[in-house]
Amino acid sequence: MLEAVNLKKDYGGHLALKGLNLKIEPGEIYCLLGANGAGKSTTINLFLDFIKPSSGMALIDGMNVADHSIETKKALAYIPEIVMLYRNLSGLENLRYFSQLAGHSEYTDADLLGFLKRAGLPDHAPMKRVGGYSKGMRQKVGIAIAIAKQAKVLLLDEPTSGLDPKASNEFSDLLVQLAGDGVAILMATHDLFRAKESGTRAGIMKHGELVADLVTADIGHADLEALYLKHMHD
Amino acid sequence: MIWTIAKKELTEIRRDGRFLWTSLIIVALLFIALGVGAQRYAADRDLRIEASQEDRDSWLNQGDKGPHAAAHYGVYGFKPATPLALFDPGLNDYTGTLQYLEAHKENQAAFKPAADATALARFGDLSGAMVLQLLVPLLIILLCFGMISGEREDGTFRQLMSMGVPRTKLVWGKALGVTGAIAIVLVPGILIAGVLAAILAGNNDPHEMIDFQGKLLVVALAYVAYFAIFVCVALAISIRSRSSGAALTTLVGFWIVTGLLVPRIGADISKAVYPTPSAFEVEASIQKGRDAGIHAHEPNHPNHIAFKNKMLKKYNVTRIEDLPYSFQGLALEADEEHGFKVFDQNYGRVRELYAEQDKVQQVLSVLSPAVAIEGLSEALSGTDVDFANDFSNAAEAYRRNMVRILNADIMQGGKGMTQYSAEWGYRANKSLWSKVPPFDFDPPGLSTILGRNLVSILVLLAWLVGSIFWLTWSARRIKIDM
Amino acid sequence: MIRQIMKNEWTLLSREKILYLALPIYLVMLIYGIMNGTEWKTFLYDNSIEAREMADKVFQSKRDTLDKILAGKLKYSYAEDPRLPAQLARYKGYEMATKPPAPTAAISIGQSDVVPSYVKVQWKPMFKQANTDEIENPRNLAVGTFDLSFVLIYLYPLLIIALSYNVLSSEREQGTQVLLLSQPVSVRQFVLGKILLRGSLIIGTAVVVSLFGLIVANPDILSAGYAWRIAMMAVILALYGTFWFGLAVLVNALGKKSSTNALIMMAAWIGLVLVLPAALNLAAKTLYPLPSRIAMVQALRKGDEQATKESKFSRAYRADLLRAGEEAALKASNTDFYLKVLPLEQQAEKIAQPIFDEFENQRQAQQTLAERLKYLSPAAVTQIAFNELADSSAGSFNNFNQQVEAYHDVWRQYFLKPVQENRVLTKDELWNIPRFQYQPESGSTIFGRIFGDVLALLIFAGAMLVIGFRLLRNYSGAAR
Repeated sequence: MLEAVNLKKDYGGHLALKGLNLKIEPGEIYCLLGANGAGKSTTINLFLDFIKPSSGMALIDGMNVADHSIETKKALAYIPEIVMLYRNLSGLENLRYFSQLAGHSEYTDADLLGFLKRAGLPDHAPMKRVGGYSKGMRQKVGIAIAIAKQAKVLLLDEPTSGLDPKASNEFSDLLVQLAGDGVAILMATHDLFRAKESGTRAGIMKHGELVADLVTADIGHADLEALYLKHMHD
Repeated sequence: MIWTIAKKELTEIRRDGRFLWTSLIIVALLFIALGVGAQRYAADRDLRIEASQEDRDSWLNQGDKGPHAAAHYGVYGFKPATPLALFDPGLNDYTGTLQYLEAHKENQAAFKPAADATALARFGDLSGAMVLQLLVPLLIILLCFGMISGEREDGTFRQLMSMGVPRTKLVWGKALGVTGAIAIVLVPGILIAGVLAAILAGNNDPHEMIDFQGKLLVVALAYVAYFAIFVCVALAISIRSRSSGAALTTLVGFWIVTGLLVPRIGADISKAVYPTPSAFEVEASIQKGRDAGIHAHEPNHPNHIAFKNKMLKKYNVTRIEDLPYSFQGLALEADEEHGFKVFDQNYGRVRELYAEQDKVQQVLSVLSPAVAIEGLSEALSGTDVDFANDFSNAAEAYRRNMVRILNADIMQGGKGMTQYSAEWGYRANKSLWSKVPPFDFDPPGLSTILGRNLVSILVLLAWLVGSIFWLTWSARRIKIDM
Repeated sequence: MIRQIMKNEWTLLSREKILYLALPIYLVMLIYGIMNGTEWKTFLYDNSIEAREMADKVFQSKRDTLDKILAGKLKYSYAEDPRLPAQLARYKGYEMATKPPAPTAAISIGQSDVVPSYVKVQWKPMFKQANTDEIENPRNLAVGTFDLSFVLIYLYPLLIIALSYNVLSSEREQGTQVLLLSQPVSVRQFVLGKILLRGSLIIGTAVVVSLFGLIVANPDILSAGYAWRIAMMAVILALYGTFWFGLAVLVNALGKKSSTNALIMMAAWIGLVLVLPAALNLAAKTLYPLPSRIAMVQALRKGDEQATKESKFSRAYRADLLRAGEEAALKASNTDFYLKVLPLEQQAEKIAQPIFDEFENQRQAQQTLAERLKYLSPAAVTQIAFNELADSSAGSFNNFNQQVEAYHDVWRQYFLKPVQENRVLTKDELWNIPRFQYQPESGSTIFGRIFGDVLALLIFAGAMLVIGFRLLRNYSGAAR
């Protein structure tokens, strides 16, 4: 579903990504771990076609992202570290707009409210302007946007950083649900605990390279942390 | 402390590419404007001096003819310019350049250059004054809009406050820094451009140099005050704005409203309060007034006959040939004197209206320092409505004197003649022509100008004091976070 | 898709305070501009009627006097005979040549407040007939008028700038850009949608209010068949607006901060609307300086002196005639005198002609240069095109003055014949003095003159949009 083939990104001499090869199937939650500047966000930005690869390919559903920018975006949903929405629109209005942009003009308000509810937004919130939302609430609208889009691929860039543990937990549960529906999920994160809990696979990046790629079920929490730290120390 | 802050600001400003480019453009425009202005001024002045001389020669050498024919031949009065006009051409494009001075009629100064200009001229004249009035404030805005709001956004303001820098000192340090930056750009720019302009303009007519140094000094002070107002307002708005963007928007809005909208709306308001009559109304009113005159050239007109009878009765004679003065001379003179009153009433009313309208606009400068500086700068440069009126009044006074001298000569020389003979048979010569002095106009002196523009001066001062207070007041209440 | 983007933008805009502040001000200013222009047009119209009536009255009074004389009801001296051709042509009679305003005059006051729309025509050269200037405070002339063209050329771009300088940069700064760009919609579509909404709002308001306001205030636009002119005006103002929107796209595509965008756009506005036209004016004036009117006055005087010297005719002629007695002198002077003095004046004018020609040539050269230089500033192009549509351009007044000059010749020829034949006018001749009739320039002439302007604006607007959207293709979605 999501595939990086020898993906390289060169920022004027600085190699941010040195030939990444990665394949994520439907139903998988792939957690990218690594220090700041390891190339996690670059990878996600390449899948989003926000930046162009220096060489190699980022494929979504078998299509090269760089050549099929618009088509591949129909299949993916993106949740950044901080979901920023139109402050002067309500949560519902934001969701409706983004759904329309995604090509889903058919949703009724009831449908949209359903998505928000499923994303865990409190009942009183959808009609209020986003300006007054907490970070967690905005994050939930972001999830609702992804659900409404019926995305086959979900790209997340440190979505839980700054969330309180409860919100973070709810968020992870939602991801697991979505993966259960067959969504391929790529998540950059610093949260080893969450990666172990909800991720199906985890990869550790360092200096633009994937130095470890493992199945989370195969490794204990303490071992994951030890492995991570070992890589960071080298 | 203030100096430290000012120095830091100056260093930052100097390293800002925007400041460098903007000030380079402004100085370049200033050079072009003053250079071209000086050339135009010199050419106009030389032409005017030459033309005045030629016109005087023509007058003296018009040959032997009747004095009234000489009055019809007439003289041209050429409106002079003071050297400061090369800096601020003001209303020169919209006022007449010469006035034809002849018998019977008070002509208005004719040939406004604007009538011969292209439509581009209506976008304004690129002059030194335009650069200083419109563009320098923009440079100030550019320098100041982010001075406080920017520090707040960058977080450096928190840092500064934690160091215990007094807020007012910080603000005045910044004001000093901006002033220094502007001065570094403008003072050498103006001095060099000014010296170049003075060289280009060359020798000056002593008449036009009346109080020149004083006027120059006041103009300079007025502009310094004007710039200071902008510095204070810009800093105060930077203090009070939520963000640098908001500060910039507010300041540009202030600049547009005060520089573009208020003057135009002010013109409309002044016209609404004191409506200008149409040329027809004035013409008709003059016609009507003059109709009540003697009709010196129409012997069958009832007024003419009545005047004749009055004169005959007064001097107790039965024939006009027996009058102690030439009747033609008496009639012409009486007609002129009547005309003077009519013209004074009508054109006098128009000039009063202009003055009233100008006063309205001076008062409106309460809303816009740009209006105040414009008026003041034009007045001191001799390019305002008052100057044009002074010239017209002087020219008209000259005409009246000329006509009186000539009529007095007919009264004596045409004594004992019929009207026709007195007009066509009696001839005067150069000795009479030289009794009419050459036209000479002294531009108003500094004290006259200051007196007339007291409102503008006071308003400018009020803006200055007000903006300084506002800045100090705002400085004391700077919020660390908005 | 575009429709949905526009709809959402509308919802967003409708929740911004600036809209409720700016739109009403904008509307009021448009309407105020139209009212001001219409008032000025009425003033010009009334003047043209009044001027013509003044001339009518003069002609009628001459006819009445003649009727009384012929009926023997009036005791008159020879000098008061209305039939004396030279006196009638030189000072007793006159025609008022008037240029009534076009029905579309309210679009732009243009040059019509500094160039007279009515002039007195008598024998003397038109140049010396300069006393019909409208009375107006020079300060008000210099400040300029608050007409529709002012609102459209100066203020309308400002509103466009205020509402579009941050179309893209604000999305980036408020963080919504990443979410937007992760949707299957291209940046260009977004920008197009946003600009289309703002464009239809601002340009649409300008077009609708201008057209509707002008027609309501000046119903004669439709009845006189001038509708195409206001349609052209709408096209021009739409293109001018598109240029500013295009610039906004271009500036946003550079991916700078909102405040930088605002600075760039303000600089563009100041440069293109305020400084450049003034600089171009200075260039035209400096490259083709007009000989001063003072020089022309002097040329006429010198011509007169030279001609007098050359001819044997003495201006003391009448005094010489006096020897034959007063009545004879009077009679002779009224006919003979002019017979002799006219050639003298013609000679004087001929001597002075070169400087008049030079003036005219320089003026033409200056205007031609200005016509070319204007293409550097869309504001100048728009102003001049509006002037053309309102018949208040320098070109329109040139044409009027040419018509006046032609009529001036007719006037002179008409009275010259009886003077040369040393006789008074016949009753027929007094009744049938040719009148001036202004022929407005044809629609096709005007269209021909503004065609280049429309084309230039099209290129300006097109270039901005093409470059802007081309740059957007490389717009990077990555947060900076």
